[in-house]
Amino acid sequence: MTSRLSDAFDDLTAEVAPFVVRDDLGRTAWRAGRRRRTRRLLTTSSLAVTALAVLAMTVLPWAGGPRALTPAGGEAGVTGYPQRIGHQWWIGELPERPGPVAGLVEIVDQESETDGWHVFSEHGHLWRLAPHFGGTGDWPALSPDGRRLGYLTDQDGPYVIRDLATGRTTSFPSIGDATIGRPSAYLVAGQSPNFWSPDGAHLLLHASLPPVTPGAAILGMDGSVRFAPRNDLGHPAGWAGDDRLVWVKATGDDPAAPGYAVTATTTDLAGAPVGAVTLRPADGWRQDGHLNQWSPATSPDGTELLVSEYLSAGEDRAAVRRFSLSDGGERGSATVDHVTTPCGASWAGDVPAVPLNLPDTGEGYASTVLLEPAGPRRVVTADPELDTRCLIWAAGALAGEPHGWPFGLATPWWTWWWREILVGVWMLAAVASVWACRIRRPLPSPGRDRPGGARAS
Amino acid sequence: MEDFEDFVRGRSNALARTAYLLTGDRHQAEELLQDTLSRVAERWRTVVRGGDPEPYVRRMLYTRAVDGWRSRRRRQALHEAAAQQRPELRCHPDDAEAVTRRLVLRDALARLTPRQRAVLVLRFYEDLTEVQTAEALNCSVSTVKSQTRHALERLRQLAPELADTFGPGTPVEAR
Repeated sequence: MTSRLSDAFDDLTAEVAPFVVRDDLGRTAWRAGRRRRTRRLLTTSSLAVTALAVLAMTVLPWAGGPRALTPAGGEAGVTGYPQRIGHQWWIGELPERPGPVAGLVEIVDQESETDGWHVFSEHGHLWRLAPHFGGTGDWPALSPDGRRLGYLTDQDGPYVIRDLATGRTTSFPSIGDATIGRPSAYLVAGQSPNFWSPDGAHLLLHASLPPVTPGAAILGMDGSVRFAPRNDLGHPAGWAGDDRLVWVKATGDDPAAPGYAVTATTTDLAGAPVGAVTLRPADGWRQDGHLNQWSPATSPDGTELLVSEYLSAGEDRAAVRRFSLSDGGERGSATVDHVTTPCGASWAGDVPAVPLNLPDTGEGYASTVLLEPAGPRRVVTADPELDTRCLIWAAGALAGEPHGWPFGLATPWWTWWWREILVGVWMLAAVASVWACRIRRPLPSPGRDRPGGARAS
Repeated sequence: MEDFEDFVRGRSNALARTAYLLTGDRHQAEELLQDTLSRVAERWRTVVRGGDPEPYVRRMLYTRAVDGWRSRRRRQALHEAAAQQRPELRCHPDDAEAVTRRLVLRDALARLTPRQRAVLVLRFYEDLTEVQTAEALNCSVSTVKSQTRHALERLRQLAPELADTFGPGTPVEAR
């Protein structure tokens, strides 16, 4: 049966072909198709390269195996630092020989399984420093070259120093946590900074000798431990050469009170004083400030002392001063906002490095600012998702090359999720491709206007 | 390339007729056919390996006509331009009524949506079943039924003078 509409269609199209089909239709279409094919190949190649790059950057940082950072010569240190410390979908434990690392970051989200100290590479890859027991003595020490890492493995000890390039571990069973009643030979004080000697042969820890003799434990890379009582000289603040220790003490708590002074005393490794200077700020000690016990730190060359005063007038504001250890005179100062406590200040070469908690970007946004002669320079930013607090740097890392591709120090949320966003876009493109293939299936048969059909001409 | 050109030479007239029905205008049909064939040429080796290329070409023709070819504004502009010239219609002095019927049908078709035109062409020109039409257009059978019904109702409204072709009570069946 033939419908009238079909006849009408036949009649309508009976002589239309000559007006639609040009003589060179096949050749023209073939050339256009070749151009389209070339464009498609170029686009597909670009997308494939992009996808591979994204996958490499997305998956490889999550891999748990050791990173190939072991120096060939065995003595090379870390050569750069990450500008961004971002989230990782999976964080493995620190391998035995990851090679020199750039620093450690403290993650403080108590509800997270990642709570605790984490080591990061110069490219920002994170490893969990296990075991983490949350004791007050849990304050790792990282050598300036990023090779040696010292930390208390448990409240009962031992303290270990690991060579991250060779995997060699030196154990100090006599070191324990000061918060427990166990009769360890030496007890490490909580939340206190520690200092490597200029030659890297010794590590200075704020410690005490039971029952109540405060001082410093000096750990040798050969496994030896010696104790230097502080003898009312204050807190240890670092080294002034390979055989001299520096202690800092404030007389009184009120800078406005008469007789208030801050003294830096140099001793030998047994704690015997060999010299002392009174620190003399150019404009006097701030009346609204107080000395941060974690802040004093000697410069790597042992000639200067860095001291931070917390100012009650400002929100997390501190006055950071540099003093000469030869005469106590001030060599420079700067006021820094958003300083994080109790994270101590440190040195990156001859430049002070001050810990920050960036404002208006959520809780736990750790950062560090270098007080360079040309002005303060922020060097790192951390993902708010990580809830970070303190950073411990290998000084050599900050003297090296920054790694922050592609967003550097930017803080918008999407800069932390760009890999996931790209993967999502890539998956959508894959779904779209599948859909496109689906609609390219051949048309079902029969068709009257096909070879052998009613309109085959 | 030669086999592609052979294919185009052999099948272009039939494809042109379908393209004309799908667009309602010779200029648009020419563009649609050119666009479709260039896309087929892009994958010609793959298409040929799959057997007869024509079902693939026709699928592409319908898909491009319904979904991907030209913006609505561009189509409208082409329709308006085409309304000024109708050289493709036969115009014998002794067949004035036939010419008028073609003009009315063509203008009515042009005022349908691309999907409605495609449904009508697939059902009443290609002789496909409702199931096959649904598969061709990637939609459900019920959608094909409703689109067919709406398209015919619209044609009756637009061209009441062609009531004997698709008016109420007129048997409209696919062959």
